[in-house]
Amino acid sequence: MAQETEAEMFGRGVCKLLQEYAQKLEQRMSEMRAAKQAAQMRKINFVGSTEWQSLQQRIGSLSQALLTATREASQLAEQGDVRDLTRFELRLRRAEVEGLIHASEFLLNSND
Amino acid sequence: MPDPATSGAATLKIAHAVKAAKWAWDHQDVIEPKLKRFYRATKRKIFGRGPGILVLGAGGVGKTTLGRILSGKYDFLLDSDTEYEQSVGVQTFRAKKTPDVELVVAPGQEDRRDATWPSLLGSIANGKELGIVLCCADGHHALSSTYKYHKLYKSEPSSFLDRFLADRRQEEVRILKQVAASLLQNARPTWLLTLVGKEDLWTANEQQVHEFYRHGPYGKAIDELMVKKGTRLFRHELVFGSLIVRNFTTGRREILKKNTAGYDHVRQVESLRRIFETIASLEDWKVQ
Repeated sequence: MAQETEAEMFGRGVCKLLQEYAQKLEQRMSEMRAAKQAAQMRKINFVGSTEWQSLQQRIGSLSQALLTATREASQLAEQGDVRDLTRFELRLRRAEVEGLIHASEFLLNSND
Repeated sequence: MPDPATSGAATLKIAHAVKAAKWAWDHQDVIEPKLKRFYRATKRKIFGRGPGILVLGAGGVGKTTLGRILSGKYDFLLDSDTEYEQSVGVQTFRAKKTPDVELVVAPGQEDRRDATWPSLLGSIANGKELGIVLCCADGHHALSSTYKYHKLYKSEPSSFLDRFLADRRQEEVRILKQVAASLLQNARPTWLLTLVGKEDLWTANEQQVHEFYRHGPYGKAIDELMVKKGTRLFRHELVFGSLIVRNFTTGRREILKKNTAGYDHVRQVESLRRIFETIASLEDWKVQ
């Protein structure tokens, strides 16, 4: 069996991290949605509140770190010394995470 | 003395206004987001996407930097030190001197191209763009990851850079052919500017580089396009220069190549002037 390249190991590690942290981002987005809904039910202003600021910061910092990881994934998928299956997974994970980041931006910017 | 009838109507109007203001005050949580949405929709309508300039090219050739420089958003003091960051989506800028023209910068990474380029290439085919800036760099495409993970590195590390540059030059030709296919479908006059950037990295091989873009694989693809399109509908300009002067490094700060000794600030400024003047002349061509 051919020896696994450093790029391959790194690529698979990136995939795993993207998967793990995409779930965390999704979880934080759900928390944000739930908090928004609760505030709406209580008819209080959620945007700008301490809870909103805290969630916004947590989502923002995670998105930023994930974005850096998707850049690595994109580069590896395009030119990295990785197996075809890993290349494919890197592309899928990148697309999934970037979609989530986009959705999180939308969530943070909407005032509803 | 005021007319009691008129005075009564005025009082009623004021009362209504006060009531409306009170209602608005009490319901500001509901109204504010709706007003914001309305404002955003109006803004989109007014400043909606008209014919613009598309900035295309492979990843890491300097498209975003060009967009930022032309729109006056690049800070030469602060931004020169930052590492290469891939653009994730389509970015829009407005040229400082011609704010009515929108610069649309498309992401260059292959997998991001699949998602964003078809509609942009479609707008070229439909004649909806004024012109295209195709960014090249004699293969000096920035890498965000380490070069050691590159598919060309493992087999022969010592000749990695030469093979990498050759591979990326081929990619530039592939992209040109993709853009050319859309230009051929376009029945309206459109210009194409090939901006070969990062001159400070390749100026020692100037003759070879100029040859590649004028008469080599790239130049031949342009000639073919010229013959098919004709000079009435198509104009191509080629400009060489450096948007910024810096070593060729990866996102991990590994130096792949140092910039050419002697390529100073004066040469860079001259090259920037050339780039700006060429873009301005192409815009004038469209107006004629």
